[in-house]
Amino acid sequence: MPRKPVRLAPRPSLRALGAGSATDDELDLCMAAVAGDGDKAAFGRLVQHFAPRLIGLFAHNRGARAEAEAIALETLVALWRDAAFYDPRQSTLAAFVFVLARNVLRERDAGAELASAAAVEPLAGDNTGLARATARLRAALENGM
Amino acid sequence: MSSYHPYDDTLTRHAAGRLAAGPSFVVAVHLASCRECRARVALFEAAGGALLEEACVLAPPAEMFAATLRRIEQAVERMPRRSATVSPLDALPIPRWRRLGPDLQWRRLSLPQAPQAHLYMLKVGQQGRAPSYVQRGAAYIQVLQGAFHDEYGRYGAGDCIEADDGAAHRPIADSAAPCICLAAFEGRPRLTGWLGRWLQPLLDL
Repeated sequence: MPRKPVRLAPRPSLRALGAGSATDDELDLCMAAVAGDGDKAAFGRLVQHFAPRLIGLFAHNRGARAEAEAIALETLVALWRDAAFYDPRQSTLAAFVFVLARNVLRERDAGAELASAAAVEPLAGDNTGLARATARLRAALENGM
Repeated sequence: MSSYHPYDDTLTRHAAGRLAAGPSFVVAVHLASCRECRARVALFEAAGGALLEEACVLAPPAEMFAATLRRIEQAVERMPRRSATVSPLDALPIPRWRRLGPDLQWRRLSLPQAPQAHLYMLKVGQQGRAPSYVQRGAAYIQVLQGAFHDEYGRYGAGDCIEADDGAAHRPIADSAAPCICLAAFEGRPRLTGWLGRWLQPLLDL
């Protein structure tokens, strides 16, 4: 599918955004620049923000640092590829990146022999709200399949 | 409009990529027609985003960005993106029905990403009986058309039923039209009764 030559809203120079911890708005601008122009500097800012977090999350859940790095790399390639599908009205950028990483996990696991599923302890109580959903999701990630 | 939905635990595992390919496919088929469950999954995905934001950061290898750039400069294959409201069954090659007995047909579906997954469609005719079976591992069943009942309830089109490990079932179709179900198993179901024992080798279960 050809990249759409759509110029989104005018954006400030990425250089002016600095190298510190990025805000959600800055990262959303970077996504717009990647999706609209294939801007590699903007992509670099996204990599800078998400690579350490992806490695942190998956090194913790999967145990192996090298595997976490491989998952992070595949996820970042998917982020470049699918940048145009990100819609800040639908989800946060972090949730979008998480879904890309989840899909990478699925593809990797599909290649491996699927062991029968380990029982995952259901979490008790009311499940509404992001805090409970987060606890539940953390448990699912850590339990493996 | 469905009355039976996958458990939250199953939706969470689906959102986290921790559900095996066959069951995950059945859940995706359910999501295509169930707005409530799509909203649940979106919540769990948002939770995944929150986990990612608060994950402890580990410094990537120095060459990580360069390696990523090398990968994206090669042709990056763009996959068509499927809307969550489109059933993934629409994209799957569907083999012909195979007749198994009076008023009972089946076919095994093959997922390109997981050809070994135990994923089936069953078509039970009016008043027909599917073989009774005992679960080893959970079963995930989405009713695509018609309705059936078992010892525990009556299920219609759009319903998704999970059968737990060790449960015994004797599904019975009870609609005017044939009942068609999509079923995925974690592990291998064991058919019981004389019909089941006869079917077991044929079904390659």
